[in-house]
Amino acid sequence: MFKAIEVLEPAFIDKPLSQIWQLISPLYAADEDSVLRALMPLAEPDTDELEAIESRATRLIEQVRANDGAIHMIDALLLEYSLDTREGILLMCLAEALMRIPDSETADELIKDKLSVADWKRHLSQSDSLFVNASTWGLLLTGKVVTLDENEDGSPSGVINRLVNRLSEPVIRRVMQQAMKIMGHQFVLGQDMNEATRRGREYRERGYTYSFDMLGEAALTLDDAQAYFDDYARAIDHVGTMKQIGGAPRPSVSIKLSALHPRYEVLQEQRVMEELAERVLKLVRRARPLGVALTIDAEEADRLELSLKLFEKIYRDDSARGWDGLGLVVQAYSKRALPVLGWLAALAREVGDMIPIRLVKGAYWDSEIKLCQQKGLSGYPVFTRKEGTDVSYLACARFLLSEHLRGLIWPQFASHNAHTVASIMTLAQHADFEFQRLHGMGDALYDEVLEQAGVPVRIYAPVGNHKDLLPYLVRRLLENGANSSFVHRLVDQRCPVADLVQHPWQTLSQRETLHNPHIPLPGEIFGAERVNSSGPNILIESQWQPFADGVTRHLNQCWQADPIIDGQKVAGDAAHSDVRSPWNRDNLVGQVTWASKAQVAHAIDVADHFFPQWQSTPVSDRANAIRRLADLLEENLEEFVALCHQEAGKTVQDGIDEVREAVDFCRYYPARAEELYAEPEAWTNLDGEQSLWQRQGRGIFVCISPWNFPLAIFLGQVSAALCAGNCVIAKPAEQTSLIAARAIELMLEAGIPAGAIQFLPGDGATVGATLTADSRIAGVAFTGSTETAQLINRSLAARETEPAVLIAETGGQNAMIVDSTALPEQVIKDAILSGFASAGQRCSALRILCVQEDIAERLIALLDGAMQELSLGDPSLPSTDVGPVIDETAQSGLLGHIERMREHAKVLAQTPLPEQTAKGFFVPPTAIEIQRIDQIGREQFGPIIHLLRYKARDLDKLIDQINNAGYGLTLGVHSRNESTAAHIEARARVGNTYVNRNQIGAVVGVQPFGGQGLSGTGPKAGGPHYLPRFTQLAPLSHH
Amino acid sequence: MSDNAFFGSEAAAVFETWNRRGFDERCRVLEAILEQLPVSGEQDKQIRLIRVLLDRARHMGQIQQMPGPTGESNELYLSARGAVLVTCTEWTSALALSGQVTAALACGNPVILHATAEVEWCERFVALLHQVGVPRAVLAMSTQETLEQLLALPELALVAPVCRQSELLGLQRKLAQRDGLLVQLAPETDPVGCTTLLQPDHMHRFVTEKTRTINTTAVGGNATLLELGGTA
Repeated sequence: MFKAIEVLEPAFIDKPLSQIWQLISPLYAADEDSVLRALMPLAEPDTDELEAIESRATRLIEQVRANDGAIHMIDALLLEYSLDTREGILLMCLAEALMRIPDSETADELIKDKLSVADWKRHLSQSDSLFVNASTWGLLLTGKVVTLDENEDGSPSGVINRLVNRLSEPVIRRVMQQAMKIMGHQFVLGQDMNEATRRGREYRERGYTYSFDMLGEAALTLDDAQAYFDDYARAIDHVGTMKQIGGAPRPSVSIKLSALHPRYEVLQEQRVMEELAERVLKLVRRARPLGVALTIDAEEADRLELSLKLFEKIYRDDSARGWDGLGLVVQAYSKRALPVLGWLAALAREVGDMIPIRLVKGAYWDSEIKLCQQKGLSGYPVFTRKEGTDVSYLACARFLLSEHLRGLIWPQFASHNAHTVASIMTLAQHADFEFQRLHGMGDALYDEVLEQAGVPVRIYAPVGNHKDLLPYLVRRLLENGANSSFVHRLVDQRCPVADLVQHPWQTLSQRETLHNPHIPLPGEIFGAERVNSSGPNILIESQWQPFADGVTRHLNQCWQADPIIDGQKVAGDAAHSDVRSPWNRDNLVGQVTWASKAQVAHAIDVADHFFPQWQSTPVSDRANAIRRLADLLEENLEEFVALCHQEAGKTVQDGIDEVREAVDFCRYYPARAEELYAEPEAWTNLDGEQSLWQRQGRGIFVCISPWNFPLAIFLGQVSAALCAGNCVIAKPAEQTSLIAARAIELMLEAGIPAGAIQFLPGDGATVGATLTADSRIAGVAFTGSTETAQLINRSLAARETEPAVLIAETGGQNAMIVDSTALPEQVIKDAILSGFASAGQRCSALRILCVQEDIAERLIALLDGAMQELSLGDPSLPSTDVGPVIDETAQSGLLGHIERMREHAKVLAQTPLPEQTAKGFFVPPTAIEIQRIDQIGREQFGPIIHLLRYKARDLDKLIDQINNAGYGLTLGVHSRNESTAAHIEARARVGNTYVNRNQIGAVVGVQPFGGQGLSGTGPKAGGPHYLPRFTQLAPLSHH
Repeated sequence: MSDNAFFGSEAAAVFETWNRRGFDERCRVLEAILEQLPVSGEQDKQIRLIRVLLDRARHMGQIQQMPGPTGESNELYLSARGAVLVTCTEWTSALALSGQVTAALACGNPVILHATAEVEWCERFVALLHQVGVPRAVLAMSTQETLEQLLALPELALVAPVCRQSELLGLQRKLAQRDGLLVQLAPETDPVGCTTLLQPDHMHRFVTEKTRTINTTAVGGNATLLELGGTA
């Protein structure tokens, strides 16, 4: 267990490295209050310090305020094109997206969109805080919908009027160009190194030095990674030629690992440690002789541990030994920051070369929070209050400035907050450190620092094409949000200096809780109603390792599935006994026996007999039994993930998500059932009399589930029917009976009575048909093919009894529409995930990628490149992206389709199949260009994306084509144009539309899921209207 | 009337427009008939029934905000299911037929009314609906087609009959023989009390659900959350 205060003892870094390493990962999602309580003593100023910091900060602020030039220097953009004005935001937003739109038609539409949509207020805070407005601006830039508030300044359509009055159309374009220039200029030092050098010269002469960053984001393809590598190499060469000016340290170069490799991911550790390490080493070998220091930028929290391993490998390499120029960035908002610094110091002590460390606050805060909530993690890797981060920063700073770290670490403090700067200057008892600031920010503040303190100041300066600015810009705005706010208040003379110099330790100490109570933990996002399903973060060592060990313990287990009738396992027909893994046919997973017709009849008798009792069981008892099942599923997560690997060929994350979805169903439906049954329903009949009605179950529900979600959909149907008061006969898919059988065992363990749930593995002909022909069946919940749904429907209709309820979820022919305003890298990430995750075997999976022709070539190149990087194979390996398809029939059907398509269409890209896939049913992810949707024919349930180009003006025809295919399940839309996205969403006859994200993974109770037309009957699973369909209303009385 | 006259390509655009007008606006249009219903001997009941259905429809027009992770908006709303055939046997009433037609229209569906009883009343009812603003392409009275012909219309999404319970089976079997989408059956078997039409579940049969998910932070940036980060 990490004790923060111990880092201040010199002995701490004498510990073996591996021992310190062990302290890092467990803090990933540790209890925030505990972490902060431990950090606070390190950040706590004594009385002298507090006084010194306060007076120093006050002096700094007063000097900045007294400097007439400060306002010009602080932020040209904010002042010339003020981001706290509506116009500024509007124009910036337009300018950003416009830059990458190749066709004027779409560009004009975007202008119209941004100038005509309404409702600013939702996005723009009333707050005067520049932070908020600047953040909002970043938000708008990212495609969030801009709307105009009709009462923005008391007059209707204030902004439009102001804009339109002020600017005619051609002027708007000129203004936007101007805005673009200002924005680019503000945040980018130069479009190339020559320009950057020219512009930077004046600052260097004043004593500043630089760290140059090459603009650009994560590479998705090897080609892009190579291009970024070349950029870095050129930058290093250029910096190597720059002459020393004055006494300032030499300029350096910052590198982003995600730009240098298309799979800089924890799950691809082997490739990272070999291929990426080699690339970075090449840069090291280039930079070192030129005296150009390198700093490795920090990225998302999930990559932290991997980045440290990679750093260690490079740092220990002969190419870097004896050099003090290989540095790293550490983010103070991370709960792991301090032990990471301790580990780095110990590493430096062991190896002997000084490590420059840039301490930043952190740039991905909001996405870290979002991701954890989505994954149902146990906590956050970051602090949830700004002052929590500030306290952590100061605690880290105190450690970095410790005497015993001199010569081991070269601290580089990056901040634009005068109080932080004053704190560092006060804490420092020596001068072996430097400050860093961003190009375009904090000029006035650091001019003072440079003048007073004699401490080197380095400017982090992006270099590159303005069209690559956006992601950088958004990150900067977010990272510096708090600082921007400070900067804004700094220049606001009305803001008392005393408010600006409160120590974050004091601020935090005054809070009731150290964590932010307004940000619920991931488990609590559904409030009191239910707990969010949880899962481990497989990218974090301390969570992955125990989980992986648990899964491994089950991997060689041999499972057995038999019919379970009235709580008893009964041997069925053994002809179908052996179950083998779809990814390796040599792999025996277990045995299954199929129910006979007589067993089916017996099961119906049992269910029929028990129905009155189950129906009269209080709803809370039924609900609680299902809730207990949810808990048992979580307790048995590892076994189910092992089963998912072995029986269904699911990858690690797919396996976890499968169980989580089942858990969510088993908590969501009980809540709905209790709500539904809470009170009798009352209405007035046509004679004006009040009548009271009570919900009740319909009788016996047959649940026929698919193999692609063998646990989630299986239990979704079953738990809904049970909660609603029906007895259930469950028929799992033939391919995945073992998982289902295990789930039934847990149901019985959870206290669901033996009479309420019957389990009949078997095929459609024997089990399915016998069930649906029986007149005692009141309803069927089915997920599977449209054809099977027809058969069930006919079988039910052929009975001499009242029509049964049939809830059918069937196939899809799902499209994603991408216009030229979309961000290509984001589109490709989402398309790959939507089309190829789970080997494309999701009802929601992307089948038709519709791309506006103007950007098609770039997207195809990215898609091809990204597909070459996918890894196929054993799904239990975390590095596997795509597992097998379910069986031989599926495999041959899909391969046959690809071959047929070769005759009339063009295969654009295909992922190579590695040798180890030979023993399984693998289909290579494939992209095929088609001319018309009807070329595809029936749904292809596997990893095949069809790409269709369309003209911007034919968007409506495209929507018609999609609608006319008759299916209507999911649709993806990628567009920065809000009107376009809304238009597509409204016109498309589909059940689930996803804008600017992937189109799979609907979450229970968040994204109710189900289609229309050929895709299903509704109601949507995981939605509020699902349960009533499993019930009927019975009259209680008339008054 | 030929099949094409019911569901030609121009009609499709009219349906779409009708659906997109929203529950509230459609209810406003339909409400106008309450003052002028053709005399049927059950005027009060009819008004009461239609009011109940329109009230329900208004409620169904509400967009439901779903909870979820930060940085994403999730909304659930209802939309028309598709072409509805309202039909009957002699076990019917003007009251129940008007209820089925109102339910179908209020939910945004195009409707074919195939009345083999209460024909005259139905004609007047349809004329009135056209008069108050229901587009002709959205509501048509079938006079020449047989039930079998209508049940074979490929666009059909739902059949809303008024008939005896025992008559449903035959209807269901015919529908089950169709290929394509599973046509839903939303019957009223109590033409006098309209007990099914009065149940809150009934109108939900006339709609489909749509979920709309928007990533509000497409690349980064989540101002709402950032504000929270700074709150006490």
